[in-house]
Amino acid sequence: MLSTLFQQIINGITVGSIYSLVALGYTMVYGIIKLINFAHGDIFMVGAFIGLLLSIKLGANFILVIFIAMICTSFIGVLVEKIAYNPLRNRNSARISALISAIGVSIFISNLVVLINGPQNESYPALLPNNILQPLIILISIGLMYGLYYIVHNTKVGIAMRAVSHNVNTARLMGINPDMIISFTFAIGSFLAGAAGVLVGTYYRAVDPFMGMMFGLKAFVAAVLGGIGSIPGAMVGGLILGLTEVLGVAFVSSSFRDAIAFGILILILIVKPAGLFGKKTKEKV
Amino acid sequence: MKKTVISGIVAAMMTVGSMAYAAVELSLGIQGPETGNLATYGQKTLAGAKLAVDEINAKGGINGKTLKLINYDSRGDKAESANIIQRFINKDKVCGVIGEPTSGATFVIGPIANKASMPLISAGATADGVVEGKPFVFRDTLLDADGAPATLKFLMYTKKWKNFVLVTSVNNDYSVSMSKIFTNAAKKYKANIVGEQKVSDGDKDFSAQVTALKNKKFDAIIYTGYYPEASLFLLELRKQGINAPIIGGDGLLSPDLWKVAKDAALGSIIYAGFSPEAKAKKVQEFVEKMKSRGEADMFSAQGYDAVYLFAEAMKKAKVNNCADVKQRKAIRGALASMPEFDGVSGKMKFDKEGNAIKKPFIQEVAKRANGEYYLKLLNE
Repeated sequence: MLSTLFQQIINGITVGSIYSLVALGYTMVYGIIKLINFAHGDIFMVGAFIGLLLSIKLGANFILVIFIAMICTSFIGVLVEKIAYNPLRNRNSARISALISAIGVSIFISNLVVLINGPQNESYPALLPNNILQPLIILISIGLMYGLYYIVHNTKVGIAMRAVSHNVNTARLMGINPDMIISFTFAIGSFLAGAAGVLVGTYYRAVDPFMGMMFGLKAFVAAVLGGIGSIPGAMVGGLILGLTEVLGVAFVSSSFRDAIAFGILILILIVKPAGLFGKKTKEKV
Repeated sequence: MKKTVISGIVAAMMTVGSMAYAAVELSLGIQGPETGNLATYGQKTLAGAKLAVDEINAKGGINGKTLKLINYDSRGDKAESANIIQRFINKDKVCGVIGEPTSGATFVIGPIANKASMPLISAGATADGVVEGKPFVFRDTLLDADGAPATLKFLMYTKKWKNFVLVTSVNNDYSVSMSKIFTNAAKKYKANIVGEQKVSDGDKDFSAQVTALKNKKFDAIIYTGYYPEASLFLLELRKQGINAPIIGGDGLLSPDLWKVAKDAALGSIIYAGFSPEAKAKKVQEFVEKMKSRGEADMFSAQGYDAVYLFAEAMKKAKVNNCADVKQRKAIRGALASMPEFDGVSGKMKFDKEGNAIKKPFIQEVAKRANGEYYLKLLNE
């Protein structure tokens, strides 16, 4: 009984780490330009498919595949920003225009993959041996998240990112180029999403063009749970979501898997809408 | 005055035109998921049906008219299925509809077709209750109520299995129905269901459910859902070191099962209303004909048979105009009273509810020497 509980906890932390990696992309983009990037889940899916393509061409070399996939995904993330969000920002469009654009990009990307590959599940090669799969996923996620935290808090780029998220115009007055910083934010977020994509493919041994929707939605819940805009919030939110989901399925009822995730969303919005780590911004008159 | 004359002439032309149109061809509708993650079911049924229509037209059609097949893609969406059946009834005015391959969607379109006196044959729905109480709804499938108990009994006898785990997909009508049937069959044949787990269609992560099964002792897992989730479930089982095979119905019947799960799918037991490995001459001829149209399987065989069932009924009822409700009622009567029909998916006769009585084929996923996966027939 105890070993089953322990195994279930590991299951939960593994799923949770993957949610965290994707949630970080949502939270950083929201923090810096107040946009919920609905296309982020599909960028994660594209990362997984790029990994699949690479592993066919380059063989089952995990480190090579995940590294190149992360770089490609990061590039795609920046591309999406330049094509779909930047022009709207430059024209001072309403916030909702960018939101609609994000939904459009999401639908476009997932259907593009369906057009190229078909809607069915695709088999993923075994890039890692089974027995170290879970611990390795958890370690890689922790490593990447620590790397992100270090960049944001200990480097000049990080200071610039935090400055832009506080106030774009003041940051500009300080000599920061907001467009570059915003692009960099998308690049990092998509870099992590690409890693999550390859990890999901390796863990479940299958991917499909619509997995970005559900995963993205749950990662978004994790970001809101932790406090959207807060990086530690996204990390903690992902872990809590993964754990409650798996433990709920294992010990309460497996019919409620998705209901648990969205129930948490409703609960946190009612009880503490700013999220666990979120701060209430006071309007200064 | 001028307007009335012109509209009168146009109306007359259209009436004459549509009458001429109706005199040239008879049509059947077919609907199913041609795209989406259940595309195997829809595409295969359509391929078999198209073969049958081409053969019939090559031999002169029905009652001297060409047979036309109109197909729409329901994408596995119940709302879209309802839209399509309405379109067949009101716009295309077909003589009969073949659809849907899934029990869930057939539960939706059955009542609609029945109310509009549109004969409907499902070439894939196997759950309980699909045709009952609806005189216009038929199916040429092997019922789960027949196939599941027969398979359980067969496996207990030949493989000496006694202990099973039952996995149900809770948002899947077919799965819920089949799980009930297996539970009752287990009681009847004194098999032990040592554990139950629930999944949902659309789930990707099964680590929790498989971990919960790990410390139980069982010979096989009865998985009553569809192939996309089954393939992922198989991968998770093998990942956590469980080597027991799964048992299921035609919901598992797709090459995607072993395309995704690879060797994890070996040993899976699938019962269905047709096997391409059966030695009967009619079956082997059909397999040969289907080679250029995408490999014969249960869905294409039952789609093929559904078209021929309609053709027989339409010939018997001397149909010449699909829009005539009286003629559609005659088609229905001809189907209900048809003496034994010898199809490629077996000899069948409709019972008074509209179910076909067929023999189950029990198959096991295996690999040939050249690495190709296929379904080995266990009971000829």
